[in-house]
Parts: sequence; structure tokens; C-alpha cells
Amino acid sequence: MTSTASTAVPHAAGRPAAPRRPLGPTLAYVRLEVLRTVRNPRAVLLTTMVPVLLLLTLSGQGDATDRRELLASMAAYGAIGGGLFATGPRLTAERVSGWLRQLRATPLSPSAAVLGKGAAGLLLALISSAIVGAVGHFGNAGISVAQWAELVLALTLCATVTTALGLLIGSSFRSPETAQGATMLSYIGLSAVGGLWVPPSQFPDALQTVAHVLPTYHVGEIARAIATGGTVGAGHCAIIAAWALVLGVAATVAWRRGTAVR
Amino acid sequence: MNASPDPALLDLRGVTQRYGSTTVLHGVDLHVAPGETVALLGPNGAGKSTLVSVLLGLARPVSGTAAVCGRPPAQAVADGCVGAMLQDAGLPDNTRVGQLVELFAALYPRPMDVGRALELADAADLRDRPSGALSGGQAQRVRLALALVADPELLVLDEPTAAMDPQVRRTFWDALSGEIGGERGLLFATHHLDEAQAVADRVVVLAGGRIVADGTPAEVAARAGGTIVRVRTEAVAAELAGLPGVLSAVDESGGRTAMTCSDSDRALRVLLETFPDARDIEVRPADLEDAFLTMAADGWTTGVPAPAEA
Repeated sequence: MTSTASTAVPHAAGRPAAPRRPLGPTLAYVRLEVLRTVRNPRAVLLTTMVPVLLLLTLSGQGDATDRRELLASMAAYGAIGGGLFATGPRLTAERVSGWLRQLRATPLSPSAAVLGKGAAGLLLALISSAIVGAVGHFGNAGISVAQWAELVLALTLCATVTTALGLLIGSSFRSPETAQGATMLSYIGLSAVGGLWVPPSQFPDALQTVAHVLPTYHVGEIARAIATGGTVGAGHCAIIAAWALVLGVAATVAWRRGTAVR
Repeated sequence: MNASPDPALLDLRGVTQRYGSTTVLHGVDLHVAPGETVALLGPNGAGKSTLVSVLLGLARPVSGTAAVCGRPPAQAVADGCVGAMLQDAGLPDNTRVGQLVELFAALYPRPMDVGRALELADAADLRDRPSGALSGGQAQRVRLALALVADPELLVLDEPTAAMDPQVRRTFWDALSGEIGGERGLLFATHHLDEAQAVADRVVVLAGGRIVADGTPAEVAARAGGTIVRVRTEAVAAELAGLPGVLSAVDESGGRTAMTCSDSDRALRVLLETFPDARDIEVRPADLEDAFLTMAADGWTTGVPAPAEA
């Protein structure tokens, strides 16, 4: 219809169009999400307590390699929990409470909101793997500081998979309770069948085939390679990246549907 | 020379919205001028929240045009022309009130000072409080601060006082009509008709997705027919409704009958003559609530209610 874009015509309320500042709002939101994650000791405890306890109770057996592999699996277990728990149930709660709708009524773009939530997932994965890694460094697994750092870095990157899964769960369920249940199920299922609790080599054949499809198996393989000084296979990385891509696309679709306004 | 754009802060024309086969809004026209306070009333399911979604650019109407501050709603939101306080939008936990308001200030291009927004919303004392541990009324004040920090020309409040006790409600509206107001336009949806009566310059009634009344509170109240007469008598409502000057009559709990009168003087004379037992008589001008009830009884049709048919 009429074009009022020209600067010669004053706007109704005299306020000029806002200058483009694509990053300011995004950074502000990511910053808040990061602060909220750090301020949530309950979530940190939830994702580190079980792996740390398992590590402490199981590390008495086996040789040095066994202990390092156990440490790597537990660090991976903590990291994938971080990605899931920082996103899934919390996202559902904020969606259901109308907070995300309130955010949509601001200049914050939907992709920035996804980015903020994703940052929270990766950060909790980082914190979690760093804490479990610390037990490995100071405990009897005896990994070096460099291995500890490598482990944290690699597992944080790997946590994009479970962060995407958490975003998918958080966007799909209608109540925080069911989202919490789905998150818990994914967490336990993916960890157990992915061979993070018991080495997958001890699985029956059929279950091994299933395990090799899951991203958690490949996350575990990468972590174990780092902790035992082996080489990280590019194949594992590719499979994790493929999973992250698929889950990321699914999460984006679910997010759009989950926050559609009526 | 003087290119004068539409001075309306909000200009909806013929807005129709449909979800699947359900039409939620039928050609709604709505204007809000600078400095104007408009109350949006209507029964549940009338389409109020959908209307709010359209003017915030959250939903695109099927037909019709929506402009906020002379630009498309999404652009107006991005430019900070409109600040909204949405119905029961929960606040996230693990953060403090001040941080949330600071976040919103960072989202808008020309925000108000964070301390000032909190002060105007009467929430300055909540700045360091955890956002997850607020009472209903406190949370509403924080939400108002979030809407205000954009320093918007148009403030949209969807049921802002739903969780407030009467004392807090009064303080809330005092703040809004005082310093916050000025040239800002204010559009608020509410179920509290007394609020609309006391605060609004204009009242818009939305029902079944249509605007069924639009005018000053007095004008809309007049839709109830002018005067309400309550009386205790043995006669039933149907008999009283037939009296001259009476538009309609309803039996109320407590044994009285409420008559809506176009000519209460005439109705009273005939009433006392015809039913000498009439007592406990109360006469008062119709208010918004009466108008609301009358419109509901008429099935939310537009125009002046027809006189009771014989």
C-alpha cells in the first residue's frame, strides 16, 4: 500500500526506524542464559553426581587403561546429561508458562532464542565434563591436564547432539513433567545402550549393532581415545555430526511449531 | 507540504483471523491515539488474545491491515514502539528481577533507564529478588517494568491486574495514569469492568470476534438503557418487564428484581400504582457492568438493544 519508508515522512510517533544491531540482543540473551546455567547448582549436581559416584565406586578394578576408559565414559555420560538437562524440561517450562511468547513480543529473533538455549546446553556439558575430568585427573585414572582439557573440549562439541535432542524434547511436550520424563528416558537409554556404563564390547551381538548406531557410542569412543592416548577416528566425528544435523533440523521444526501463536 | 501520517498509534482495519475453519476475528477495526487509554472488554473466547497477537506481529491476519506507529507490527516491535505485558507470561527462574529488566533493555534500540522502568512499575524494591520467587502481584509489576523499559509509544497490557488484590490494583492504575501515561497510548484487556470504567478514555467491547461497542465508558454504559431500578415485590420479572419505560427485567438472587429502564420516572410511577407492595427501591444510573450484562443477554449483537417485545 502506502510507502512510509522514506525518511522525509515522519513516522506517526516520531520514532525513527531502529538501526540494525543484529548482535546486541542475541548476546544479551545468550549472556543471561549462561548466567542462569551457572547459577543453577541443582542442574550441575544432577548431571555430575551419578557419573562421579560411579567413577569413585567402580575405579577400584581393572588396570590403568580400564580406569582411563571408565573415566572417559563417565565424562561423556556427564556431558550428554548437561546438554539434555539444560534444555529439555526447562525449555518446556518456559514455553508453557508463556515466557517464550513474551520474548517473541520483543525484538529478539527466534533463532537468537534457540542460540541462547543451545549455549546453556553446551555450557552445562562443559561444566559437567570438567568436573568429572577433574576427578580423573586428581584421582587414580591419572589423565594429564592436556588430556583433561582435550576431553572437556571434545565432549562440549559432542554435546551439540544431546543439546539438539533436548531442544527437540523441550519444544515437543506439553508439560514440564512429561518433558522431564522423556529427558530422563533419553538420558538413561542413550547412556546405557550407547555403552557408557558398561563397555559395549561386553554387550550381546544384537545390542552391539544397536549401540553402534547411537551417537552416544561414538561420543564414548572419542572420549576413550583421548583418555588413553589413542587417535580420534574421523568416522566417529562424522556420525556425531550427522546426528547433530538431523536432530538440529527436527528441533528447529519442533521449536517453530511449539511456539506458534494462536 | 505537511505530510501528516495517520496519527494513530494503533490502526487495525478489517482484521480477520482464522484458525483452520474457525474465524476468530471478523473484520475488526480498532484505533488508539497518542495519550489515549483504551479498555478492551469481552467474554472469554471473544478473540482478545488473538487481537493482541496480531497487533504484536505474532500472528499475521488472514485479511485486513494492522499498523502500529504507522508501520507493520513486527517492525514496530523491533523499533521498540510497542511494549507488551502478555497474559500470565511466567518469569524464568535462576535469575534476578534486575537482570531480566536489563535483558529487555538490551533487546530494545532506545530503552528507558532500567532503574526508572522499575520505579515507574513500582518494582524498584524487587530488583535484587530471585525472579522465581515472587507473589502474583509482584510478578505483574515486574512484567510491567519489562513492557515499560522499551520506552514504547504504545503500551499493551493483557489482563494486567488478574493476580492483584484490590489495594495493589489501585496503586497499579494510579501509576499508569500518572507518570507512565502522558503521550503514551495504552491498550489493556481486562475482566474488571470497574477498572475500565475508572481508567479508560474509551471502551471497546469484543465478542465473538466482532467489535460490538466502542465509545466512552458513559456511552457504552448507556447501552444498558440508562437507569437500573431494583425493587422487592411479589410481582415476577415478566410482569415488571411489561411496565411502560422498562426495557427488561431480571429476577435476582436475594428476592429483588432489577429493571433496566429507558424512563425510570415513568416506570416508578406506574410500578407503585400497579404493585403497592413494591419496597426496598434502589435507583442508579447504569454502569459498564450493566451494559456488559445487557449485551450478553442480547447475544452480543451490535447497536442499541431493542425494547422488550410485547
